[in-house]
Amino acid sequence: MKLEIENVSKTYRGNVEALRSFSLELGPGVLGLLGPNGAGKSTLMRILATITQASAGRVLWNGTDIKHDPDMLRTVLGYLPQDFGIYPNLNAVEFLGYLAAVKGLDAASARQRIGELLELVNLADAARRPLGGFSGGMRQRVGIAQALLNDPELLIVDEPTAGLDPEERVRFRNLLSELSGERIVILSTHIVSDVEAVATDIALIAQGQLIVHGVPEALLAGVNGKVWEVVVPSGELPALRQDHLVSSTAHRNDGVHARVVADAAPRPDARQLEPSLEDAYLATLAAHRQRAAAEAAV
Amino acid sequence: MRARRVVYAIARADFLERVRRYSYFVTLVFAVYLGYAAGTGRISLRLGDYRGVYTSAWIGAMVSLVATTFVSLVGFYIVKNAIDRDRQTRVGEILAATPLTKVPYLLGKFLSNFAVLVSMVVVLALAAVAMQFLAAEDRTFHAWALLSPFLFLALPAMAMTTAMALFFETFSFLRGGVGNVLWFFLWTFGLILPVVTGLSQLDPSGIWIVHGSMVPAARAGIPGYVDSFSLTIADKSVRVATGFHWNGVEWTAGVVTQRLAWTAAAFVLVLCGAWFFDRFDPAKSRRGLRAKPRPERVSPPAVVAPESATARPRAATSSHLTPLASSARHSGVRRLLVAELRLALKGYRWWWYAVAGGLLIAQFAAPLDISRGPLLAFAWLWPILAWSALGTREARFGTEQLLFSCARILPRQFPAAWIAGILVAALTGLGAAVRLALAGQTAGLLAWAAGVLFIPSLALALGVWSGTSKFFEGLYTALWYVGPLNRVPGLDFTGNASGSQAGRYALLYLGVATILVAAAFFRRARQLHGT
Repeated sequence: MKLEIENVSKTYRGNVEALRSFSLELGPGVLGLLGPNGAGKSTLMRILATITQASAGRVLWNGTDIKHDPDMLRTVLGYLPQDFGIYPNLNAVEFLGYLAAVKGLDAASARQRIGELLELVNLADAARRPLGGFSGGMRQRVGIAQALLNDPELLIVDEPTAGLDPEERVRFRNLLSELSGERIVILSTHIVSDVEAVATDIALIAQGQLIVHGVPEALLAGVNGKVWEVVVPSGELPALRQDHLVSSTAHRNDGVHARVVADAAPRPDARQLEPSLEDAYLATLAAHRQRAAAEAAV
Repeated sequence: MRARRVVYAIARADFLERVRRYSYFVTLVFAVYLGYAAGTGRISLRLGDYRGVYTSAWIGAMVSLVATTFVSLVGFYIVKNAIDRDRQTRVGEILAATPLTKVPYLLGKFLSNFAVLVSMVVVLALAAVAMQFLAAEDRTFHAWALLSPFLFLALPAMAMTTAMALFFETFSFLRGGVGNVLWFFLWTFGLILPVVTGLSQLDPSGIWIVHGSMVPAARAGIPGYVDSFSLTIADKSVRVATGFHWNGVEWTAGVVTQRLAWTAAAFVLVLCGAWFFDRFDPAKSRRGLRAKPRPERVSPPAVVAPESATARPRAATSSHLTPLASSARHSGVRRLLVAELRLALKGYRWWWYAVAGGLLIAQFAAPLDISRGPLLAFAWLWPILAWSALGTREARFGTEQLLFSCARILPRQFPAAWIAGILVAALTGLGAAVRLALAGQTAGLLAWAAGVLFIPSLALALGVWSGTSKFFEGLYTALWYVGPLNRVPGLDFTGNASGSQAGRYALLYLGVATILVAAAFFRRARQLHGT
């Protein structure tokens, strides 16, 4: 089971480059695709899900170009788009039944699968209610269920935890971890904690380019010994932000506890901290922006 | 002052959003075509077998009547989505959380829509100017004579059309397909209202103002003329009454007041709409939803069901998903067909099924000519909203990405949706078919079968190509009105009006259906190709 993305570019009308020579090779496991808004994550997801085609480059699923035979991938694909709709007059069972039929599942398998999935996403009690009355979080869970209908070998989920309450978010993370064994899962998000919880691999994308690809430990190693905590009066926080990369802040009785990513201690009283993935993500992104700005200046 | 700025801001934003869409370009092309059709005599203003010399006044009146009739009909469908777009894009919810009140909002939308229709009228007016110079029957150009009909006839008619479209949108019941179908009948009613009532004032299109000026002049200027007056899509040649130089409508205070009254009525209608407008309150939309015959208007997050309703003890995930056997992924099309049929027929109120059932039973019980005539005609108008969803449902409800990432959509889901549409036509018209079969009317039965195939094919093609159900709803209603209801041979796709030619027309409709399905297939294939 292998997914190869080879020099994929996508240019939209108006010469807007969403992806630039993006290459990646994936095997079973969970890939956390991280990047800021507008980085090209959703474009990449749509290309991998055969919704749209790359302007250049190719995507191979087990060695076959998906452009030439998209159905070969679609048969084993589960896809949860960032934005999707439902048919409001159908209930969850009918809607999933419809999509199961579209995906070609036989009646008995579909019935069993839908029952299990509704239990899994905690919607069994609401299974017979029209979807039009579902909340955003409940609809998102229907979306998750539909992505798993055909027991996909490639599961692509784009911002899957958007709209989920914390409890459901944890459930979904657990679900992804359990599902990841013998399939490729691509989790696209800008919520670093989601990736931190489940990803076996991380790819960082910015301005349509792959910045980093590796295991989380490698990304963390890059900021090892570079994360500090400093306590400053709240009035000094803007100056601190201007001089350093501040990854988080918390107001306490003694002032603002700021988490700073810097090569050297930002202040003499700075205390070194264990780096988090969020620190690594922000530092890598900041370094990329500096590089890009320097290249643009040249 | 502030209110005026708000109205302007809403109108400007809406107008820019509209004119930057590809569909606006198509709209202008349609206006250019109408101008071309008028210029080349395909649409003509006739006085029996004659027309007057193409003076500025004649051309101005004729082309502005093209605007008040054709643009009124089509323009309604073009602009009837101003509020809906805000609902779909959720911009409405943002606006609803501001101090913005209903009246400025609707006035802004009204002005924007009006501007869109006026731009079409401007295109027609330019075409009229060009037409006079190209026809060159009368080289004297009178700007006022040519342009005043646009000002006094076309603009009030556009205001009325715009107001009607907006008014329909404020009513949850009229917001969707029901409103689209109803508009055609209302538009027809508006044309014949002055004839029925004998009151020329009840004429939103202004045809009778031109009639009142032109007919007396023609009596004096055209020998043997007998009061005939029509604006037609020319089906036979027209002779030029070379001595008849009509000088145009005399815009008396009474006539101008009458037209201003229609403009004022348009504003009143917009204000009335404010009374019914739900201001994007999903609870009110939900109430309206129950009266709707189709799911189209359900805004996904309409009424939010409390999540606590599902609050069972939430254990940590235990994913006991049974792995699927590879053989489980290869079911036939039958299940999908049943699912598509359910999708087509679900979401209606009980009375919808009752009426459909009543029409079916009546087809069995009534005499054959009634059964295959008006009963079949109405039976094939009733499910129009089931057909109009073909090819557009995915876009309407945002399920394209879910569907288009599935395998074998073209060989499975596409034909399943089409066959579901065919089954709806066959089921609702079954009574007439059985009667025709029992009577041994093979040609009639063939015509029936052609109709069964033609309707969903037309819906699918228009839906897939246009991405909206409005196109089919408007066009099919018009075709149904002219063909099956008014029994125009050739246009009656039920075959009832075709007499001995029924078999020939049936083959024609079968051919057209084939082309339509092929066109829809081609377009859907392109969509799936992701280009």
